[in-house]
Order: sequence, then structure tokens, then C-alpha cells
Amino acid sequence: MFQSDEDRILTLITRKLMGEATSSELEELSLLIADNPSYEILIQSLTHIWNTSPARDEDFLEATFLAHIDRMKKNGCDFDTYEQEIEAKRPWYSSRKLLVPVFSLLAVVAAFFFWPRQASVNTPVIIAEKEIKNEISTRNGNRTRIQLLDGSTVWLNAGSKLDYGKDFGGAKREVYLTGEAFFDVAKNPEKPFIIHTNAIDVKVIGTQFNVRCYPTDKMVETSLIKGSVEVLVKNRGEKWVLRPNEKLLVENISYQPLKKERNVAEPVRARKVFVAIKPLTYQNNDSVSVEAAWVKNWLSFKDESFAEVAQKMERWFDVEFEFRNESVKELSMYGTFTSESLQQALEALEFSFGFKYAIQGKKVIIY
Amino acid sequence: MAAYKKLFHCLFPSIQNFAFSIVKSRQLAEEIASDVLMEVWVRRLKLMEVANLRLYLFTSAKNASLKKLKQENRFSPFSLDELQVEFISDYGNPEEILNGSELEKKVQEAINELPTRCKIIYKLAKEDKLRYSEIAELLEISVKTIDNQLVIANKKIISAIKYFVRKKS
Repeated sequence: MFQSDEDRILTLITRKLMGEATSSELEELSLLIADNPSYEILIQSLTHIWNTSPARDEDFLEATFLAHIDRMKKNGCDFDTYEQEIEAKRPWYSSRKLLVPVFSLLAVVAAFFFWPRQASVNTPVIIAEKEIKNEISTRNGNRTRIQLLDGSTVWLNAGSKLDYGKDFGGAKREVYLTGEAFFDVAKNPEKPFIIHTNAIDVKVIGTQFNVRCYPTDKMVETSLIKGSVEVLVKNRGEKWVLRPNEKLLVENISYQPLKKERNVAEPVRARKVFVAIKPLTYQNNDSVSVEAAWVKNWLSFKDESFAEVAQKMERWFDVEFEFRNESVKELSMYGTFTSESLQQALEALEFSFGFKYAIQGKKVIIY
Repeated sequence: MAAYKKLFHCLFPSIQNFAFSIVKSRQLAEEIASDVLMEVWVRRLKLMEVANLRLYLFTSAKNASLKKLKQENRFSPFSLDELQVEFISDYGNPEEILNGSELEKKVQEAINELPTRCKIIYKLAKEDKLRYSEIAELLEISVKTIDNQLVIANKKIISAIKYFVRKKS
């Protein structure tokens, strides 16, 4: 390795961590790391250090806040007229002009404010050899972790279903998935692990990746974190191989649009489905990609419309959204929620985007 | 009010920390940060005209800190080499790679030993999540300098990790 390679890697990784790298710089970086594999672990450590946020003492901060409010009152700040002001002028924070600063604040809110509370991890479901079940499913609002007999772990997202044969782990390792799951597959070159879905089959030896194939999504997504996977696109009869940090988007052959938006396009089965490879999406300073964030109990989205975010939230919190204000549906949103309640999440979005919401039982009304 | 509280929770520690690096007194720094955030409340309707609220607040903290120094006759021109940089906290809570606390200590040491100029830039970038352009405006330096200094910081950290990895193997 040349000294200059190290310097170049450092320059590029620094820009990447700052979110200032151009796409050609990112490309160059991954080539350099491929050439210098010993740097991979160093870069990983560096990224990890960069992304570790200081632990926050919420109680202390709250006490500081109360002291601050006290001090403000002594200085003659008037809090009582605030409510009337809202009535009269619309809240200051819902102004369009403030959208940009508040926007960057949302990132801070997401990164700092929502960070340190530990997400509750569901106790893993251990499949004992004796009580072999064939199907595990989750309802909306629920997620679970499954430990398979071969040593692989599967995280099953809300509203999903995983089937596997009684002979799983014996002659072969095959599962059937509807919905979304993250797989950490134990390595076994002799017995490839195969995930069947309506549109694709994913074949791996040992690796970490996410598969998303909800019937109500237009695209089936396979996101590779590390290792390598082979995806068979059934409709095209083609095999695609993914590299780490790539995702394969395949048009969902059995897309079932929600009732509200049924505009019948040409039937997919009659033609070849659309396929694309894209890089995984990272929020500015996260080490976990948006695609895999849910495994950490993070609800994460980047540059997604409110309509899409609402769909994610419906599954996440087991609620139903109703938009009485169509114009906000197209708002582009960035953010990460960790262990927020539905109300806290909506409050944060309201704070940034200035819409109003109401929660009525399992229904969220946006207006 | 809920929004204001959130803003406070997000920004107060960073602003207080930044003020401290200039005035080098915790009490003064807390007062300054409180003043800056009080301004936000008082002028909340006018602040709509501010394009970048976070940078605006950091800049206010800087100006208020320099003013305080002047009042106490401790005034010196704003110099990056005379700051006292402290991090909000060290970086506990490691997973996976950073399992050994020995490595953590090595990394922490490397960061602490950075030249002041380098340290403040690293802190603002990493801990306060300011962007290149924001740091440039706040510290009155060029984007190129920031880029270089951050590379230097990361280089030192990589060396610390390398040292550790070699020692282990």
C-alpha cells in the first residue's frame, strides 16, 4: 500500500462522514478500500467512532431547562400570551420560511433528542427442535426476532409472515417471506439459504441483508449489508448479484394497491418487470442504513413523501392515516425515530412541517 | 412551548460547550447559552428571517462570549489556538468493534491530544454536527482548512486504532 493511498482514503472517508462527498468520491473510496482490504476494519471503526453520540443526561437537561425558564420569567418573559399568539398568527414554527432552519433542526432533533433511550428488544423466539412450527407472523405494530436452528437470525418486521418447511436445517435451508425481514444468515457453503417471495428468490451462503416484499409496496427491495447475495428475478428469469451496500429494486409482480388509489396500470405479468440496482441510503451521520434501521427499532426515512412515511408508520404503530389535507402528502421527509410513541413522532413531524394532526383511537387524521 | 423545549434540549449543551471553549468558565458559559436561547424566545417571530437558525445561535454565542471577555478585561482577539475545547462527554456506549475499553481509551487520548485548532473543528463537526460551510462561517476559516484538519484528526484516530490492532495480534 502506498502512503498516498492511505491519505486519499482518509480524505474521502472524512468527506463521506461529513456528508460532503460527491458520488464520484464515494465510488473512488469503495474502489480504494477494495484494493486495500486491510483498511476496511479501520474505516468501520472510524465510522463507528464518528457516529457514536455522547450519552445524554435527560434529567439534568430537564433541570437545566426549568432553571432556564425560571431565569426567563425573572427577566420578564411572558409565557401567558403565547397561546393567544398561536390563535392570532399561526405558530411561528409552522412558517414556510422557517422550514429550512427547522429542517436542519429535525436532523438534530432526530440525532440528539431522540437518541439515547434504548429500544426495547423483543425476547427472541427460539425454535426448539421438538415444537416445530411452520409459520411465524407479526401483526402491525409488532416486530419479532427468530432464532433458526441453523444458527441464523431473522428479524421479522410488522405485518409480515415467514414460513419454513419442517425439514428446515436438514437437507436444505429454505424459507418463504411476505412482508419485511432482516436476515443474519449463518455461513454454510454446503447448504445455501434461500428466501422465496412472490417476485424474487434470494440465495445466500452467509451474510446480512434485508428483504422487503409487502404486497402493498410497488417495489420489492433486497438490501445487502455485507457478504454477497444472488437474487433470482422470477418474471425475467435473470440472476442478479449484489455487492455490499447495494440494493436491488424489483417491480412487485403482485402489487395490491390500497383501495383509495386504485388506478389500474397494465398488468405486470404480461411484460418484463422493471429492475434497478441502487446504493443503500444513509442519513447524514448514521452508520445504519435506512433500509436496515428498523432492526434497531428505528423508524427511519430519507427523502420519502409523507404518504410513504405514513404507510410505514401505519405498520409501525398499527394505526391508519387519513389525509384531509392532500397537499401535505407530497412533503419530502427525512428523519429517524427510535423509541418514540406515535404521538411523539407526530409531534416532531408537526413541529417541522406545520401540519395538524389528531389521533382518534387507531386513526390518525392529518389536516 | 413544546417546540421551544425541544429546541432547548437539542441545542443547549452544544451552545454552552462552545461558549465554554471561549470564556473557559462553566458558569459564564451556562449564562451565555441561556441568554442566547432566551433571545430565541423573545424574538421568535422575527427569527423567521434567519436562514440557518443553528448557525445563528452558535454565532450569537460566540459574539456574546467575546463580549463577556471584554467586560472582564480578558479580551483577546478571537483565536482558534487559544480555545479550551472540551467534549460534551467521552464516547462510552461502544458496540461490536469498539469492544475493548483499551481501544476506547487510546482513541480518546488521540482526540484529546489534537492541536486546539484541529480539536475545535473536529468537535463542531462530529459532536455538534455542523456542516463544512457552517463551521467555516462560524470560525472564519476556509472550507479547505476544515477538510484538512478533519483528515488530520481522523488520521490520528486511525493510528491509535492501528496501534491497538497490532498490539492485539
